[in-house]
Amino acid sequence: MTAQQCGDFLVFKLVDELYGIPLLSVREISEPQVIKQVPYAPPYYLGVMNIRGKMVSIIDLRKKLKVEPRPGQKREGANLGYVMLLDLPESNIGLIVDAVVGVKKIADENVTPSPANHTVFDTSYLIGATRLDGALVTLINLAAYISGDEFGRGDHAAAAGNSRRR
Amino acid sequence: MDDFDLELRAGFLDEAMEMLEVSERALLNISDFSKSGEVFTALARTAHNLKGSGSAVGFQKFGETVHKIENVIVALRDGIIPANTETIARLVPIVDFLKKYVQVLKNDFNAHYDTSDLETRLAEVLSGPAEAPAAVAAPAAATAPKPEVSLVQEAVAPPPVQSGPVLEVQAPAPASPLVAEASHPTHASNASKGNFESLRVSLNKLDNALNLIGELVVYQNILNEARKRLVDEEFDHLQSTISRINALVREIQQASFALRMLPIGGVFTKMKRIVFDVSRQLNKVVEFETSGEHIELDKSVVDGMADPLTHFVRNALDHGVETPEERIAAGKERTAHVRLSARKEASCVVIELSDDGKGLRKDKIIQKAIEKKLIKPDAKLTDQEIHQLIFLNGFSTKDQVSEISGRGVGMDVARENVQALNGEIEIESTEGKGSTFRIILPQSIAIIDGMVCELENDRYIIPLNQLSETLQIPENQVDIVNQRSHCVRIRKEELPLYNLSDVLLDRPTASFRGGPLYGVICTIAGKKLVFAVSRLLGVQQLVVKPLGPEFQNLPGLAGGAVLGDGSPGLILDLHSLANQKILKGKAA
Repeated sequence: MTAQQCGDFLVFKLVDELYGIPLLSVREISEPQVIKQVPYAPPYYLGVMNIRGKMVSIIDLRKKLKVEPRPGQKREGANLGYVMLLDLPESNIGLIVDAVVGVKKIADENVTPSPANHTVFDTSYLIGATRLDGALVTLINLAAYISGDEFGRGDHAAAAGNSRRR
Repeated sequence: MDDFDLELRAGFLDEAMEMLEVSERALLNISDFSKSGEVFTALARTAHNLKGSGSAVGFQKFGETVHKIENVIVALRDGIIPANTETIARLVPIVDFLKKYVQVLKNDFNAHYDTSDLETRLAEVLSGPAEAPAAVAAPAAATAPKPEVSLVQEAVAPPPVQSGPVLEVQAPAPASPLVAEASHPTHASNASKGNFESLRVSLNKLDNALNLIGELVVYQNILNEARKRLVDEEFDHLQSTISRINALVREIQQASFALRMLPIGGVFTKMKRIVFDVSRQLNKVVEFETSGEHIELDKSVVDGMADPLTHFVRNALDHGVETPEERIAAGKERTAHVRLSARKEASCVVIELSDDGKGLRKDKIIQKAIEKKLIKPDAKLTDQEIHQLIFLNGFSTKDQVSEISGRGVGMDVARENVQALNGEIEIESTEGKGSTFRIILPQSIAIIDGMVCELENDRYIIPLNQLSETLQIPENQVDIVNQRSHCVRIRKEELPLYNLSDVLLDRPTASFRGGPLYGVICTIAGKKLVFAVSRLLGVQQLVVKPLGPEFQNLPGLAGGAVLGDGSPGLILDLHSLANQKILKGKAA
């Protein structure tokens, strides 16, 4: 765990779980607009959205992280949470989260190793866990996970990925 | 000499200056002579490039000069002459000398530049560090007082009347006809001075600006839509302002697209070289003509065309054109003709490569395709479909694999390259008379004319250049074969019919009954397919937005676009869709 990983985190809600991601890996938060479905895309992609003229690929984070809603927690089309735009060198990717709790400063000493063992993602992407007002927050390096999973590259700092794009 | 030639020359000189500056820095940075080989390898490559492209754009004399320098650099690279501080000290002024030469040519393409003392300077480098300079440099000292002086020698000055020794070292090669043309005084020298000055800008910066303009256009469209709803006279002023901004934005957009456009001529020049080399290797006599070099295409399209064109040209020379003996036996002119041309057609650019060789042999193609199990022995194919077979993976009719183009890979890759640029290839061929490969490319990949279609409640954009026709589907002419394949009879032709919505959702089509149906006809690999849509909403000019790499390998997607109301749209690529989802596993 490096100092860089701890510090400011953006905490958000997925169904009823809290997650935190390093603030620096988020470019912006925006409200969802019209999303155009992309044929043949993996099911966790909801489609593309126009954010100021850029095509942003939208991932339903619930589906991606397999955090399924319990009965009665179905998300309606109308309240599609928020779009968290990741700061990735390869692509414009937005993650749909249910709610944004806010930016929290989390000191190193308050971070314990994450208890999660059966995650859908490689546990090496886990930064750790902390508690906010008693609630467990899983700190995860989501940008690196998405980058590694979608583009086969764990080290998302390698900016060379842009060369393919015009 | 036309504008295009002038532009090529100006471009070359800019590039040459940059290369020389890089070389100079590299030379000056050598500190460890045991590792100087790398630098000299790079220098030799630079010199070779300068020589080649210089001669290609018409600076023969410059090319010859560089050639002499190249020999010395090669000797240094190969360690024939040891390199040390002194060699470098002598090489650097030679780079300066070339820089000055380029500068002089920049001011006047036809300028004469005195290269008479170059020989002596090169001899100095060659003679190595020690005692030699005295021996060789002596005559130089007599004729050219000091290197510095000759460096600044004015270009327009007539070559100084030299005494024997220098001329004796080496006289310039006899002028070729092209040199004579280049040095012929024309009014062009005036034009060469400023009109074609260019600025090298990083593509990232340019694309960033273009993206911003693209965004501006999107919002302008939205504003323009809103303007139509302003009926109140009170808004007269606002209305006229919006429409003025509208016109302005269109102009900015046009101007910005022009920034990425390059003439195709650069690629044509490369083809000249390939024809020259390959025809010699194959002992064929070929006259190669080009036209339309000034036609402009998006930079990425121009860059992307080099490989496929190289392949088609090699293929034409290897498989199309006959040897002189064969030609005479066939009652043809001894010299074969290969023509490469570019022309504009609507929003497309058509590049045509034609030869008067033996043409495609349909019987041989079919035989080969059956042998390779690419088609069924009883397949009934149109001429166009037969010709397209040569693009299938693993197809090659030449019995012996040749070095030029007979590996059976290449034609398919070449076609993929063209398709990646949203281009199409058509082949026309007559046995015994020759073949024409016609490549139809969108002029700009940044903006397309797209047909906006409605599918159920979804909208998609189909590039206009993929459609040959739109029509209303006559419901009573729709039939089902084998309970799953639909077809429709259009003008006495039975065409396969697909519900585009079902193809995109990867589900079988149940029925075409009910509701008005429209169709778009698309010709893929010589086969006509009809795709049914709910409604055709009209043609729009759209800015193509690339989709992220996460969607790069999905079938049928060419990109995204922002529609008039600001919502995102997807641009379909019916060719990749059909190839991957409909025609897969079947021949042609």
